[in-house]
Amino acid sequence: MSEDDPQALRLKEGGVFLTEDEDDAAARRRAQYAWPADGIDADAQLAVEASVAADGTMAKWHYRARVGDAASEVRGSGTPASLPVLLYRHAHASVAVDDPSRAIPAQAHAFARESFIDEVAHDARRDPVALRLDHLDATRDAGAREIIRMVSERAAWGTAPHAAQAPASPWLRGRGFAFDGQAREEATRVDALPDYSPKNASAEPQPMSWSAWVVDLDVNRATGDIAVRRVVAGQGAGTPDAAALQGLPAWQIEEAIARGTGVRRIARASHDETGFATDADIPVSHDLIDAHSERVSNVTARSASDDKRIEQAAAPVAAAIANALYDATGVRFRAPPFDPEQIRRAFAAAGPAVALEAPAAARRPSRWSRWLAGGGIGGVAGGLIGLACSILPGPSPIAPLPAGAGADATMWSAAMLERGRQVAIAGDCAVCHTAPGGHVSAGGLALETPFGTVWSTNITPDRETGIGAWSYEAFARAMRQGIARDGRHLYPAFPYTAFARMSESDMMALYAYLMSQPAVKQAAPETKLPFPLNQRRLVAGWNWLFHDAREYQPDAQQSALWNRGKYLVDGAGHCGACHTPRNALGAEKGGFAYLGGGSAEGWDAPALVAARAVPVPWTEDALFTYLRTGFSAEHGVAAGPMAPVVAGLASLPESDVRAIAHYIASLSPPVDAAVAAHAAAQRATGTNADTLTAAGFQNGQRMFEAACAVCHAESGGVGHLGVRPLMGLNTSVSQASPENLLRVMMHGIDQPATEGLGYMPGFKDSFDDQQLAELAGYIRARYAPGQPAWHDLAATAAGVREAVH
Amino acid sequence: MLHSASHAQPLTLKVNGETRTIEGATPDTPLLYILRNDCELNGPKYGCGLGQCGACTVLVDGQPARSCVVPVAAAHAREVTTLEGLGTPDALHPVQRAFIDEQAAQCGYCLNGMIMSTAALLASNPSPDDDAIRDALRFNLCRCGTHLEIVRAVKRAALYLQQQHGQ
Repeated sequence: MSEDDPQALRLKEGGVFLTEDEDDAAARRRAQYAWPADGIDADAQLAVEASVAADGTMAKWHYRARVGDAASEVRGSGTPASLPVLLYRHAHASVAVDDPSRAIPAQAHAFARESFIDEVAHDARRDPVALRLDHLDATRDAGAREIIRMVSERAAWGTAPHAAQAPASPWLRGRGFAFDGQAREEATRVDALPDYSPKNASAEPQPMSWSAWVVDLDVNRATGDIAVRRVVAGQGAGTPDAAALQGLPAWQIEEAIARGTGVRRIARASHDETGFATDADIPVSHDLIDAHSERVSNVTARSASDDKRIEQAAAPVAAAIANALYDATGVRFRAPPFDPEQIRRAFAAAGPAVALEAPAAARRPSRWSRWLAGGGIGGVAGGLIGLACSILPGPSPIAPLPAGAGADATMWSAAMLERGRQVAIAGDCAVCHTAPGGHVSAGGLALETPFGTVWSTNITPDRETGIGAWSYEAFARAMRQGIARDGRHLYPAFPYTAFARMSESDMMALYAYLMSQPAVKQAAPETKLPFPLNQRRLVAGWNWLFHDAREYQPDAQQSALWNRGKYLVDGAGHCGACHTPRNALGAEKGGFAYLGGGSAEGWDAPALVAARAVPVPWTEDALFTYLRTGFSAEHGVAAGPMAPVVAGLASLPESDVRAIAHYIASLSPPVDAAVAAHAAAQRATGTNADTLTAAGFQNGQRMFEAACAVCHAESGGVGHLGVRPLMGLNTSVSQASPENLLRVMMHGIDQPATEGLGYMPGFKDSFDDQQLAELAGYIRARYAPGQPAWHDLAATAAGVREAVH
Repeated sequence: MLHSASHAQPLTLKVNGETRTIEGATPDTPLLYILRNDCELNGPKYGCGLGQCGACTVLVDGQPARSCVVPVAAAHAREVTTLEGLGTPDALHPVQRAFIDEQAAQCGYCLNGMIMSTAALLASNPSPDDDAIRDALRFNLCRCGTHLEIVRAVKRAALYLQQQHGQ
């Protein structure tokens, strides 16, 4: 803006604004845009001209807007037209609007401005968002900058590589950014024109509402069809705190996209959007799906203020779409509408550049054919592939961040860091990356695997022993491909197989959060697996066989809640790491085995899909209560490795836990709550104790009455601190293996998942293996009468006693 | 509620209405040890140490808790009431008065648990019959055999409380 030149803006008669114009030697760029005028059968002609330095900086900016043929317009009639706000600061700026009948809508100006800066950025090979920030003052435009920062962070702007498209597909993928600002009062008039003179430079900025959009779309180069896939849109005054960024309601986005593209699509919270279940929280990120995939939202009656809001919202949308189209195709659209016909025409005019086939990339073989190629039988060929991988050059190291240039909290908004904190909790990072009693996230926990002990590493931002020297690129590669910054393969005990599903914006938020934590210098013990597993390059072969590094793709046929749940379960939550059985090479099995029950640290991880052994079928509500509190009266307590998982879930937004419960419940046949309640009432008391007359049962019964009944009997006593898990409903009693029950009996629960659960003492020092066997045998016979008796309980108890955990 | 056992941070407890800070105890120390050794409240007794006999019973937020198996960390930010907090020798709690009046003790070791459990019982059921009393005190062990006197004391306590409320 023209603070250096108080004469830059001069009012002429008839609502025409002109400025001085100077010529200079810098490269000049000129572009002409068009927009339909209101109420006249003519287009507004919008011309932008700027001097452009090599880095894209525009010192001079000239803008002319007029309707149709200017000569035919009658000047000097009526009130002056509204003047577009100068959002960006240039050393010299001039604005001229010749619009006596006020037919040029505000969006037109936003479209021209935001398209032009995108064009300049592409010419100068600059990031379009960074170029905008270059033209905003760090102090006086702090609010605008903050909104741009928060929206671009949320969209992981600049990091998201375009998802690979099948080479033969006519669909191209693109992403565009646009920004706008409006005075929070009525649209700016001539009398409210911001005072840009130097004497006013330090004055309080006018109260503004900023909005920024990132549009992801696919465009079909054959038909010209556009499908907007995702919209990240936020608005606010931009004060630097988390609450300052607000999303836009879905109906505004739908309407704005429909106006921009002519295609109505349904907007709903993105699968990586947290806490959207309450009406108060409007998500910033929306997935857009086909209108026929889900019930069309029935916004029928709209008030004039609604229309106004849509217009305001839509102002930057057209530019964001045009910029995304350019990103996808290299074809610049300088006038709406972006309908298939116009797009086809533009593609045809652009010639073979767009129609050209993409280079034929090697088609990724299906998982099944990879497995066949790898030799499912004994993995012999897999081993050969691994050998080949260990001979061929491995992944290259990614350069460390230069000393002193490490990432820190000031680089990100508070909202981003909070988001990252939630991702870290959902992913239970600290659970595995913290040694017992050690510094949080400093590593050093021993993970027992069938292949040997794997030690978790330090993920605090310490440069030498942690990830302080890791760039985001290195971090994302580790999370998605299991390759450390130095190029070493990580063992899949680290569930990058699940983390690969995470969205780019969640990944970036997690990086931001981890890098903002205190650095702890602590070297983790080195993982030493026996030969040949110590050849980390073999993991490359394993990855080729088993690892699918694709991001989560939402299922448009399912609800937003379901998608959110599946995204959390398969992604950050990595539920399958414990709850899905693994094959001989330690990879999670697919198909019917998905979430079919696995193991973790010596514990049985029960099946999450239609488990037949449980006394009462799980309802969605029971799952929710269990995951939120660590206890379900109809199923029991979260113990062992599940306790810290629940402790994390308890601090996530309730809607996320609800989404997980909803998705998990959807994997099994629906359960009627009344049926579940009836089953619970029947099963709670177990079989009649008098029928258990064998000698072992009498000992067991005596022990149960003395040691257990005070907290676990169906009746009696005066209550106690904590919950009352009944054995007849307890999953660990009806499971095939007695290990979980024996573990809790011996070690108790000394670190309950949530405060309300209460504590259980361990009995390993008061009962010997034989006594534990008799007690467990009695509990099984009495409280799981339909299940076969456990055998070799004393030996199993001895084994559990030996185990580290 | 996950806590690390290796760091002995000062713990703050509210015992019988009084806020106390305990230094040098790990969070997994049984609450009973802290009450008896640090707070010098010897009403709660160490019996079996396994939460089975009930001699160590205290109230945590009004809920009976077997303080020998509850770690002190569980009492953080909660109200702990011991036998001493129920009443004083000058102003006995009705349950305490009833147990004295019925002479419901021989060795007296179980009485802390009997009295605390009775207080909890009568808070939820002001006039229990014999069966309800037996069922409620089922998990409080008495080795001397004063069960009949104890049941009578509970009924007397219920009467005292009703009279108190009737006034």
